[in-house]
Amino acid sequence: MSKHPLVALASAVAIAIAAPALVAGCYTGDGVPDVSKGAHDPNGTATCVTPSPGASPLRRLTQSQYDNTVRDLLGDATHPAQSFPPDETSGEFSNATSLTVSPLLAQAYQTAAEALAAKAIAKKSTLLPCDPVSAGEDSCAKQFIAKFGRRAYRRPLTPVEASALFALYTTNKTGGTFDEGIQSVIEAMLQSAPFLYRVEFGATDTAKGSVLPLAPYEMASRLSYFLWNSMPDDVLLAAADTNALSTSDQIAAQARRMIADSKAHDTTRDFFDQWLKLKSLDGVSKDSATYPDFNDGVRASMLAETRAFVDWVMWSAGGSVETLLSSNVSFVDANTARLYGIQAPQGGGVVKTTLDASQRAGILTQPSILTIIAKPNQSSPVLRGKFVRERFLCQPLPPPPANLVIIPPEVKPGATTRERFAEHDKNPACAGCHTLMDPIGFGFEHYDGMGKFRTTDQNLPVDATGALSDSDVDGTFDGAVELAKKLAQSKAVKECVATEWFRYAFGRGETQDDSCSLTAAKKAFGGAQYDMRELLVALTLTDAFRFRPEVLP
Amino acid sequence: MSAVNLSRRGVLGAIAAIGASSLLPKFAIADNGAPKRLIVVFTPNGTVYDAWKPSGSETSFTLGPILQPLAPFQNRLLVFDGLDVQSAHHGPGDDHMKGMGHMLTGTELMDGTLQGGSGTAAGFGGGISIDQRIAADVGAATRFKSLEFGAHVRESDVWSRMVYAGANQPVPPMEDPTRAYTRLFAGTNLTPAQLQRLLLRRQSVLDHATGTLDQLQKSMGTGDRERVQAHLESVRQIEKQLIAKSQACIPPTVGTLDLTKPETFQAVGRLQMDMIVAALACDQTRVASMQFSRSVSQMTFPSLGIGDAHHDLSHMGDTDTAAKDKLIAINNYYAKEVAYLLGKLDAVKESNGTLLDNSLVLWVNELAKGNSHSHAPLPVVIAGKCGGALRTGRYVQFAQQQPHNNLLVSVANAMGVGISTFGNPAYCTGALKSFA
Repeated sequence: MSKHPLVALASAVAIAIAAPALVAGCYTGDGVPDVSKGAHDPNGTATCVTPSPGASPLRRLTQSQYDNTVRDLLGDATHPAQSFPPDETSGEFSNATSLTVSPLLAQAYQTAAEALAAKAIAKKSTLLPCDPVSAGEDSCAKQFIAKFGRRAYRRPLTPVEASALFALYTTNKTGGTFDEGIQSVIEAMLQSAPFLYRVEFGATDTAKGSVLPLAPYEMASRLSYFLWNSMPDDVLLAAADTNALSTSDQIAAQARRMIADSKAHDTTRDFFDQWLKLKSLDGVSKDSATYPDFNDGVRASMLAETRAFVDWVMWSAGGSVETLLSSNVSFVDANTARLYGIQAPQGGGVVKTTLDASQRAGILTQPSILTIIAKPNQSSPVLRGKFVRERFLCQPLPPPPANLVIIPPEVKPGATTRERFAEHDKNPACAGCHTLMDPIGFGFEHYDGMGKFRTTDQNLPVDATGALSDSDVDGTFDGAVELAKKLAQSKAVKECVATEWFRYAFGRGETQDDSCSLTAAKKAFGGAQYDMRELLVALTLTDAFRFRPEVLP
Repeated sequence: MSAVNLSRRGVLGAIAAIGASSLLPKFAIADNGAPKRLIVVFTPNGTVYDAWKPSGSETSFTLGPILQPLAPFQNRLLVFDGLDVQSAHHGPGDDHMKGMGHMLTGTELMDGTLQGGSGTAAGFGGGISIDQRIAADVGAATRFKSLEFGAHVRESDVWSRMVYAGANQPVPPMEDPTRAYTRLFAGTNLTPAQLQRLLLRRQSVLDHATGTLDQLQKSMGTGDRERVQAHLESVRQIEKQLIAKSQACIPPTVGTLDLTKPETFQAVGRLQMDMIVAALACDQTRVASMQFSRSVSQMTFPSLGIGDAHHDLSHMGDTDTAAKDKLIAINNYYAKEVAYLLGKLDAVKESNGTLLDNSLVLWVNELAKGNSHSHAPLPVVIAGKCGGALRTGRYVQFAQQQPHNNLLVSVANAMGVGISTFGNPAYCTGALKSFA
């Protein structure tokens, strides 16, 4: 390949080193986005007096939200959305503007709605608010439409909506049965826009402005989809009925009530799945010659471990980022016990276990993540370093420059992984960016491509010393346990966790307009010793959560 | 995933038989000779140019080691050497993202709103893909405007989507042959009267859904409105599926397969291609695509004795002969799969030749070469005669790189879609020289 990119790169690196924003500028060139574009206003130059909510795109229910919603609406826990085409992903989290409805998904909605309606009608006594015989079929249908519709649409139906649904009922009852009429109404609601989208216009009865507070039912849905990843319960809808979701005290009280409910586990699980790419474990394939022990059972055990650990951190151990990153507690079954080289626990399922504190510290040293962030036949200092840099320090790294021939070193006997990647250090074309990844990633060299602890690599002793730079905890460390403890002490890491939760909550990246919201959330988070549960409450009190821009059709 | 053992009697075949089609939207099914069909095939991570490239002249050439499996079809091939995906030198995204999202759209990706992946905030494709543009013209007559299939795609990000109904409207492939079978060919145990009531109900429910979506799209601002409009269009497309499935459909036999393991990659892919052929043969659709894995595919190939991941291999140096041999083997494997598809298409006799003779199979890759992420010369092979619209049996070399978008224009023209530019017009100068 031509030498020009290398030359351009080398000079860009020199400029970058002199500049404070090293990450953003580890090199520059054609097609490299301005990664500072999405950054918020760290110095809080905004006054934070006038509400500034940022963009508020229309949000479609995600797969997990659909499943949780039909569970709460119809008592159906069969997870029908798992057979939908997967939610589109763009960036780390389910992104509001990326979630679209293809013909395949529209058809999956139809299939799911028909199956759900058939099951619902089979136990209609629990569904109907009245007896169609004594109340009269049509009268009972009207009551059903109003009552069920309020829960399905997460707000009372408008008279126009109610009459359209009654007309549908009539069409399908005619020449058929009452049940067919009701079934068609359920199918229709489950495929309608107000069910599939979280529609918001803001409180349009307030004085018109470019920024509006959310209407009460909109706030009920924001709270429920953020904190439960599901529809509002009766308490939230009742609070919306009486406009009791408007003050910060009212919102905070609801948020705390909701966080105390086990449905909040659905949200944290969904967040960690997306933030840490846990679902991709399912599709990871390993070279069976290198990792003969890797199989579906091990895969499932790894995921079960991390899920149980996250639940424990959040709901039993105080919810702090520090615990997440540094605890040597984990949840082990026979498969993971073998990986850890410890005795298998009795019985099935995962068992709370204390691991060797010299070998493991927190979520970054768990086999699930170490397996995902690795290659099929080796570890990956580059990917692991990049993962920490991007997801725990919120410092995105640009892609390699166009037309640069990138040749990663192959696995070979007589050289450790670390030695093979030493080229990055020597070659200035690589070093500009790799100095931000590799020195972190080398810290994980005690773990092979499926997270097993090792003291040798290719029969040579492992060197897992590394260094953190461009952070508030810069300095050297030896191994991931020391790295994790440094990260656990970092304010930048905790603020990054807050930023990641913000992105998850709003399904979009942060913008300049969000500076007050983010600053307020981070401050409250710090005031609560970085307890993530308090961060969730704080996020519900931000401008971004309570207001939205006016919808201009 | 469960095995399928369903009646071959189509739901909609039955409804047609009972004369309920008057209830349903009207779509004529052409019977005046065989229609033209488009099948797009994608394989990932670039090729090994020296081993891909044929040798010889335009009309007298020998296929290289990678394309060798296509030799039985050589007189119905067009091999293009010298296309440059010019748009991919522009816009947001890393080179794999751009390659994948530009390959069929010929335009820049959308800006993204969330960082991730390669640290670039790129969104999905920025325009309609050529297959969907063609389907807009030729897809109205069939039950499905188009059908998208994939094998081991496994992700749903910009690296994994190549078909676009419009900007920011990725069209996902069906990855599970069992579900695809059910969607296309499943029958029913309902009586004709029950079936008629079911279809009536479906129509009324979809009408209601359409009404709510229309109401919503009218009240939303830009961006949100476009997404709701896309949803509305999707619902309209499934309304069309209420029309009759042809009695002539002979679906393949579908069994249970793991959709994640490299060991089942070939079987899943072949089953999906069987389904494409069956669906085209009985005119359920005229536009289909087959996506093998995704851009940055880390597929391993145990059957070839290759335990390294494909994308990692694609980054090895040009002088690494061991890696090069493996890459040639992987690309040759994909050529065999394309040959499998061509063979199946050729086995279907139609009034004027075979299904292959009436098809245009467009085989593309998101990159030219893996380790440099280059976008030229993109390895492009076309197979089939497209009902006589193509002058095949040629190896077309361009002394000067030609805009890839020109190829997309020519593909549309061959399919009877009269366009003179496609994608971002800045990277298109009209139909491709020497195409026809």
